[in-house]
Amino acid sequence: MTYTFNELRNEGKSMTSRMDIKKLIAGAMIFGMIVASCGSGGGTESSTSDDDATTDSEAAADSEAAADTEAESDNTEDNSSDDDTNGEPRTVEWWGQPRGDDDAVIDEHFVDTFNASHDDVTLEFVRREDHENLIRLALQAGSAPDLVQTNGPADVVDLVEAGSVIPLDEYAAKYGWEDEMLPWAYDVGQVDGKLYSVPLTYETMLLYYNKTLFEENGWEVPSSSDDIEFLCGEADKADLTCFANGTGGKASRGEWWLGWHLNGVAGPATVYDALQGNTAWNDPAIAEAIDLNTEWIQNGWYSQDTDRYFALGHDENWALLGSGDALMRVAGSWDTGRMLDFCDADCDWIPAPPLNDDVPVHFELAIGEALSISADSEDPDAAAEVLDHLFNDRARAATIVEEFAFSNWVVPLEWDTADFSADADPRLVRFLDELSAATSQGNFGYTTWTFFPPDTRTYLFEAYESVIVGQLSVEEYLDTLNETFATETDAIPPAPATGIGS
Amino acid sequence: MSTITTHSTSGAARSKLKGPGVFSYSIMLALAFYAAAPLVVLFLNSLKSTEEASTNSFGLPQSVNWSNYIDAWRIGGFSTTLLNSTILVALSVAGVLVVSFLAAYGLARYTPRGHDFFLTYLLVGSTIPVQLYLIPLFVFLTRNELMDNLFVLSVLYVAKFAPFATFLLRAFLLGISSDFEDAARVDGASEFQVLRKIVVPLLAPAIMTVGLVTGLQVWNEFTLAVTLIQSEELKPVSTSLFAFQQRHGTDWGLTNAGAVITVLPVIILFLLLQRRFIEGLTQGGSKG
Amino acid sequence: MKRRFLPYLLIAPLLLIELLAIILPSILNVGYAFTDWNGLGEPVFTGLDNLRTLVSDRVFWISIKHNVQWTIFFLTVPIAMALIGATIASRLGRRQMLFRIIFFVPYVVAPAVNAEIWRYILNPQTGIGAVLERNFGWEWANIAFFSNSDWVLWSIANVDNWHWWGFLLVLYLSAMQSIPPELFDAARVDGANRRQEFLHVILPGIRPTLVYTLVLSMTASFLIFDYVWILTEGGPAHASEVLGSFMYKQAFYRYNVGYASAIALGMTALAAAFSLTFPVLRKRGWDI
Repeated sequence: MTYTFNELRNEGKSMTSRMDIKKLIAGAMIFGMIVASCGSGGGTESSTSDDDATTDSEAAADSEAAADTEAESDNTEDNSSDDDTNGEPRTVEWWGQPRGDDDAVIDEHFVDTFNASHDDVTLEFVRREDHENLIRLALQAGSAPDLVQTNGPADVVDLVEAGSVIPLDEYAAKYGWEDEMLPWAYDVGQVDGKLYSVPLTYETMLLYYNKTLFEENGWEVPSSSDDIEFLCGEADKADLTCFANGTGGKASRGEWWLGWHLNGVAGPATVYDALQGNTAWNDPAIAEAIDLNTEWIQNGWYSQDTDRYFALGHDENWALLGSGDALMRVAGSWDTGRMLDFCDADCDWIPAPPLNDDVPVHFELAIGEALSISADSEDPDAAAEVLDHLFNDRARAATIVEEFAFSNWVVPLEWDTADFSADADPRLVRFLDELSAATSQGNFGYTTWTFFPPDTRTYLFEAYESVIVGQLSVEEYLDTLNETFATETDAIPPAPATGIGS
Repeated sequence: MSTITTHSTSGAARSKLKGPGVFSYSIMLALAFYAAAPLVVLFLNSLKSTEEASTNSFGLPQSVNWSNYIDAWRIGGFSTTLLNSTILVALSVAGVLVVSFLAAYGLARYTPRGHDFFLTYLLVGSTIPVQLYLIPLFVFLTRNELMDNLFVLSVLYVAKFAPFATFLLRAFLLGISSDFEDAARVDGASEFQVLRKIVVPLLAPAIMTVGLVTGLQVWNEFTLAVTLIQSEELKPVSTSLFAFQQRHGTDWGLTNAGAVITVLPVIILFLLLQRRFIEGLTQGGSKG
Repeated sequence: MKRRFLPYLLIAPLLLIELLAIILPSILNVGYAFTDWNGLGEPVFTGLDNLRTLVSDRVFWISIKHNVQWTIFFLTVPIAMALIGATIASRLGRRQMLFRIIFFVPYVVAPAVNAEIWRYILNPQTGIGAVLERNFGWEWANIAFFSNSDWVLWSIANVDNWHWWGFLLVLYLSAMQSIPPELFDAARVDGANRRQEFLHVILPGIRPTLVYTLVLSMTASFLIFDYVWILTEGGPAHASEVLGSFMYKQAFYRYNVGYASAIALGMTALAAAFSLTFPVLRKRGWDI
């Protein structure tokens, strides 16, 4: 069996179906053409920098990020640093989450105004999905951005311990932040007596309700748990959803209602004591609060049954509230934008009501996002200038707040109705007014995500789901919560003492 | 050794027992419905507006909203992610083919000392679950600033998918006589020429199959991609859809359109080349 | 001279990549399992603490239970569907091609897309349950498939099943077509009916492939991650928690790197133990 060289080569070729290869090439060409022709502006620009990254594996994450930001933030490109006054262009990098259309608000009113008014410093605002995780990774690698945005003071404690962020006291003194900010907001950024973070936005828990529905039925807004029991009974009769509250697959949202009950039933003073370690987490007052929330969920007062409580998320719940199929929704003040989208004509809000006659009306305090300066930053002074730009012009800050419908970038200045334009929705302006008034009188409570140490907080909402479905008793749950808290006594975020006595 | 049998002469078909009746066909149709209906639903719903998708879930669209595709394309950044996936596939497949071809040739033709050890090493390496090496890999890449790097991910894919490719190519090679190569060497060809001019053409169908199968595995790979690629601009299609769903969860018209965009290239390629896909995977499968 | 080293050179790239990308990190993972570490700073050696905590962690046992349930599902449902489908298809002659393609298409679809498809179909507001409730008043049909503790694991298993069974079918079909036709003839001569033909000709004829898929199903069932993660992240209340999601959350949400590595070790040990049962049993003469 002898074959010549050539016969063999032919045999090999015939074994490859030419048709198949042609089809493959045709397919690849068509595909390539589609991808190339449909490239939207941002997409194709950043894809060229991808090619660079993939061919040079040495490319550090930083330079990749820089190349990407140049492509992404179209605005900052125009404001590239007029470097020369100090010899070198000073860039400050800030990583935040993408907000879709709202990104333009930040770019126009903050980034551009900063770059225009600062000849020697350029701000680069980079959007990254999942920015908290990315920042943490970058901190491990030593390549974090100058400005570190976290979910609040609780996260900052961890970073301070690892030496990842620097104290801001000298900048606070230089720019007078203490005088400009709400006192509690300023205090909350302190760790071990030094300032490590400033709040980007503060928020609270509100009870939104369908005012039209209430008026039609002659119902009054609830101010106690008895009122709520009445309303939910009515809702059951009419086959409506009492509270459009649901986690939509994200266990962490459960902490909103846990926090509401802890403050509303056990009272802010008890919560404060527990956070200071002076009251145990399995104290009967706290157990009572957890029991009530669990009872309401099991009664079907949140989304009509526990399965739907786990299944429905914000949009679905807002749709229910907007269409009058639900009475109320307890959610954060960051949902005001959704209120306007889904329920503009019919909805309004009150502070999340107290559920115990001993507890007065109050607002739970929360910091939505906080900013710190990374220890890796090459130019912390420049970074501090960016921070100051948040606070040094009330009119500009007010415009941003309005553009966000008061749901975000609500910097903790001492606001006044006069700060806002006549066009601002009065419901929203009233929110800041009432919040400032109440908090300056000391009528405030503590949200779980701002004031609880991280592992305790995670256990709180994660294990709670097992309590709801009856796999874990409230006792076991609180016992473990107590144990978890005991391991974190050095990680407790700073908290101002509430003015509400217990 | 594998033989590609043609289908119409299979033993079962010749079995001469009563042919498949109504009952059997009903089962087949039911199974086909189970397999195909969800895809049809996906496509139909991608054309509905979000309101219609919430109320009229399983009917034909009342209005055809091609705009869903335009929006999904833009919002999901598909021009970027499809490109990223393509880059990953190109790099990984090239890497796998080169590395496994060389190794398969070395193992099949030379049976070097330690050959059994190498085979076992490869077998073990290919069965280690990704979870066992994911965390240390993550830590190492983070500390050395190698995260968010499509090239690095491709190298990992080569490590993950090359053993299977090697086994496959080796099996093919064992079934081909080495006479031709010997003849060429006698004629004075260098090793390199032998490889290039004899072995590659002979192995071409297998190489193409391996390329397709690896490409599919890379295109759909999720765990490594979701952990090691975090930044928006570099996400491949397998994870960007996931992020897209998280953000626009109940905007059904949009997310369904996004899913169709993700799956269409693969399905088209599959339909064009389905014989190769199926044969390649089943050969690897039946060899264990 | 060169010839002696050549094979080693050819194999080297593959072995090296395996070593660096998979083997070394896996060994490191074993090391991390004995430390307490949050990813920042240096790991602290804590000996067997993690293993002790793991054994008393109720979520660990819940996860294992779910992995076992998943294994039982995957050893039965998709395999039965695939065997039935393949057996019927093998009798169809040329007509089987169309079915083969339809059945296989879901296999080429990426996990995120599969998840999207079924998330829509089984959604409590828009899915098939809701449609039945709205149009026929069948409240019992409207189950929140991915949120109800009783249904969630099986709903996720269904998604993976939809993706996977077509691959099994094609595998079995290939194997069936390799059965020597003489065996079918002999059975016919002996007057066997279709059931006997299946039990005594087909099943034994495809035994190696069947065994391979059983082993594959068992080991893979302990390593599942993709679908669970995309659909529920193991929730709600751990109702769909499996070892993979449990490990992932510990590593990347809670930053308990040491503990997560211990979980990963556990997963691997279980998967390996199951995959070894078959060769071990066979060595002992079990005719499987």
